[in-house]
Amino acid sequence: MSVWNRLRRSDHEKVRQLLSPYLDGEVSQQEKATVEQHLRACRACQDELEGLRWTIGLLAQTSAEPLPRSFVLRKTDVEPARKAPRLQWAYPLLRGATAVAALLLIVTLAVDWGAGRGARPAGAPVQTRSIQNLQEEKALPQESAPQAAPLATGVANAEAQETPPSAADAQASSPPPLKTAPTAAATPTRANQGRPVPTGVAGRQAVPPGSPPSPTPSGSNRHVWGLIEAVLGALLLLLLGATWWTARHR
Amino acid sequence: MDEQSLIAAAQQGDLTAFNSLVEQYQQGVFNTAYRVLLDADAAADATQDAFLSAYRAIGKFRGGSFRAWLLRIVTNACYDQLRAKKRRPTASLDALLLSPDDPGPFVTERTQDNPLDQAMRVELRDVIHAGLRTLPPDQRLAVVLSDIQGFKYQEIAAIMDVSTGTVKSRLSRGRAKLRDYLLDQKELLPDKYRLKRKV
Repeated sequence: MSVWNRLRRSDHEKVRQLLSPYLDGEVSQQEKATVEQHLRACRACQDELEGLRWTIGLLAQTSAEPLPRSFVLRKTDVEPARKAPRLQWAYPLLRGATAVAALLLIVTLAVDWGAGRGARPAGAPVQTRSIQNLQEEKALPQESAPQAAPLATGVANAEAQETPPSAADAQASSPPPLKTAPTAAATPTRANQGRPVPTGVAGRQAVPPGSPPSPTPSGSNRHVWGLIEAVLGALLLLLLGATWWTARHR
Repeated sequence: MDEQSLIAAAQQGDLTAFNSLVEQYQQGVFNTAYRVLLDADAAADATQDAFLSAYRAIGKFRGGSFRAWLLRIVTNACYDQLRAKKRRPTASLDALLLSPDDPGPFVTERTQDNPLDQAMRVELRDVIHAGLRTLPPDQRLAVVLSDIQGFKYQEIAAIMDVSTGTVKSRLSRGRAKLRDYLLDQKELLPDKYRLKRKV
């Protein structure tokens, strides 16, 4: 390609880029002169310019689209969306309640689990005392009560055990005149015959034969545990209520 | 009330004054959105969003062309719509339901043209829309703002938030692509709109 042709070609490309702004009158005087001079000699650029002019003419003839609706704003459009009332002040309270509830739950579970492990060596058979044995051990006045009294439930068992032994009880229980075998639970007595062997709270209170009664929770301890349970229940109710309220007002 | 007074009142929170401006500009704003998005529902959404944004931001309007300011807002709304469409591509229900013989819901409202003119305009519109669809959104917007809305390069640059040189380049490329498309599809154009080449 000759130098002259190369120059003409680069001129042609430059002018092609200027055709669109040339039609809009967005070129400098010098650019305008260059374009017009080139157009006189270049048929391709004349066609391009004609095509561009035709395209712009067609675009100008596209009529306006009728509005599908009015876009006038209503008051409800511009008013800030009313937010659901939020109890900002309640969040720290609820957070604290959650923390306390979690802590109490952990403490309760830990104490419960620890007491269960401490009362019974690992692998040892679960030993329980029937109500009959208890009565015998403690030489309670109810000794003369019918042996088949319906008191063999675990909780009742535990409660019976939790009763602090009196001095007379201690005396009565110090010698082991018990008829109970070490496997009291394994050999069911008349009282617990045919019933499930209570474990857990009652089970961990198992007393080996011949040993003095293990220390049992005092009345104040019972009150503490009762209080913890009440607080846990109240916190649970509070958190459930807060969850319900939040879900409803979201 | 003139435009400046309406703008001043709207800046004080007067919704009625702002709605007067909406009535004045809604046609142009919707048309721009429609040509850029090429979807009537999306264009209506973009227009509504744009007017709502304009009402909330009118306190920041510091003079100049209110129309250009509005079109800048609708341009952003259109880009939002295009981005959303890219994330969730959907088939246009209109495109599924309308046959080539059915001019669509908008055209039936035009009663001033005779049926032949009306039909030819619909054909022209369809071909142009198909051509615009081939352009990238930036070039399409430049073409729409320049050749349909009649803005100057500097105004387009302000609306699109780019330099005048970029506008020149986008417009030049967009027009050239559209011209090539229309020349390829000239059989689809009514005869009176075809390019008559000089022999």
